[in-house]
Amino acid sequence: MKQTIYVSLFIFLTIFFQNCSQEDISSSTQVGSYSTMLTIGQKLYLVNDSQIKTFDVTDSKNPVLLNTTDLGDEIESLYHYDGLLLVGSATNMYILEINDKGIPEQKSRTFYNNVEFCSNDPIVARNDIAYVTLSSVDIPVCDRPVLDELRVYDIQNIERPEFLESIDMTKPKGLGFGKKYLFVCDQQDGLVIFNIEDPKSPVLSSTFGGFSAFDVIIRNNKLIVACDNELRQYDISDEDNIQFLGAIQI
Amino acid sequence: MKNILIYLFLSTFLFTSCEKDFEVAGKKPVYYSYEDSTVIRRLEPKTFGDLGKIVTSGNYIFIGEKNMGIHVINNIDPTAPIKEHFWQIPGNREFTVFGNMLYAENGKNLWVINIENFSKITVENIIINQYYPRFEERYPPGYSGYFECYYEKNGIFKEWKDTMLVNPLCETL
Repeated sequence: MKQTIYVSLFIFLTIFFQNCSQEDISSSTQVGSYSTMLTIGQKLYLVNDSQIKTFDVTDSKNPVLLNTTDLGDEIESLYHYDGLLLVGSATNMYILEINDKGIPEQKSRTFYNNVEFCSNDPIVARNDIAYVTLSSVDIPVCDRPVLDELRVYDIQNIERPEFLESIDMTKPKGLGFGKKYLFVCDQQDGLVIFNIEDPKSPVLSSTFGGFSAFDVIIRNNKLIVACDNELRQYDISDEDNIQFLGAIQI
Repeated sequence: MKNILIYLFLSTFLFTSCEKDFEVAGKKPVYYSYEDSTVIRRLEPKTFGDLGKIVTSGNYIFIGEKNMGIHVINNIDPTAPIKEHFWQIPGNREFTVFGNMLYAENGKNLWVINIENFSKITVENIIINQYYPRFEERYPPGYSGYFECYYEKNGIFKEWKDTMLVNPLCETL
């Protein structure tokens, strides 16, 4: 009897610790807002130009394709928020819900009402609010006036996102959350910081300029900005007193 | 950029109809195969060029060099990060890290790369045809003359090479 208990305890602990370490592995990786590939638990999700694919990566050396779902053209970003996958394309925001088998199901598609091919648009979300940047692309076809703005959507009802407001920017790119601030990269203005204590209406707080910012990752109170040809880091432990840590250039 | 490329369909038609080939010195694209795993390897750190996607894992920052591979940066001291490796993955733009595995595409296929040892990465697996090769207009930089057109379907662009061309369809002015 005693032996059985020890054996069960051993099995329990083995499973317990195994689960722990797996959790650690997946949660220690963080991707920028322009990412199109991410893992959640034992699943790998990726978007190509027009589809979202789900792989089982329980055996990480041998991903098994479980599902392919067609979405639409010009897909550029993939973001995970609370059991949802938010997919950004040049013209639409797609909201998918991950079902109990780990497969994403499309719940809505929100048209940006913009010029096709002429923008890209990563998305981040928190507290039922999604923030999207739309920025113009420098190609000759896009010589018409295009959108350069930060957009705010209420996504509490994932089947019917509600447009709240848009804020003009110069050339907004990737974005990420601090505690009370939203950090938005701008190709011309650098790092543009919005106060989102009222999540529905971001207020411009400050700007760190002098470089061309592309995407951002925030973790452990550090802010990493990927620029066109350098990598900058900031300490944001005190968000009202952000410290520049350094940059790697060339 | 668009009006630089001139497709000489008319002249091709003319030359084929006279049954005499038009031969001229020019350039042609050299390709990596989308399926060649031998080109995926660790190189010495190199200078930043055209940077792309960013991923962090543990104390490391991984930042993509568009179409070339991934810069691997030791960030244990964020005030003095160190470039430690460059992982060459021709055609790569999108990637993520999962434990000891790096999932990285090359425009067509998805590579599974074992990164347990950062200094000696090895290809574990290839999952073919997960992406549609990206259309890209490419022409030899700083060059005017005939060249063999680049087609993304033929492979991943490596470099331009001087060669003799027969009935070339592309020319820069």
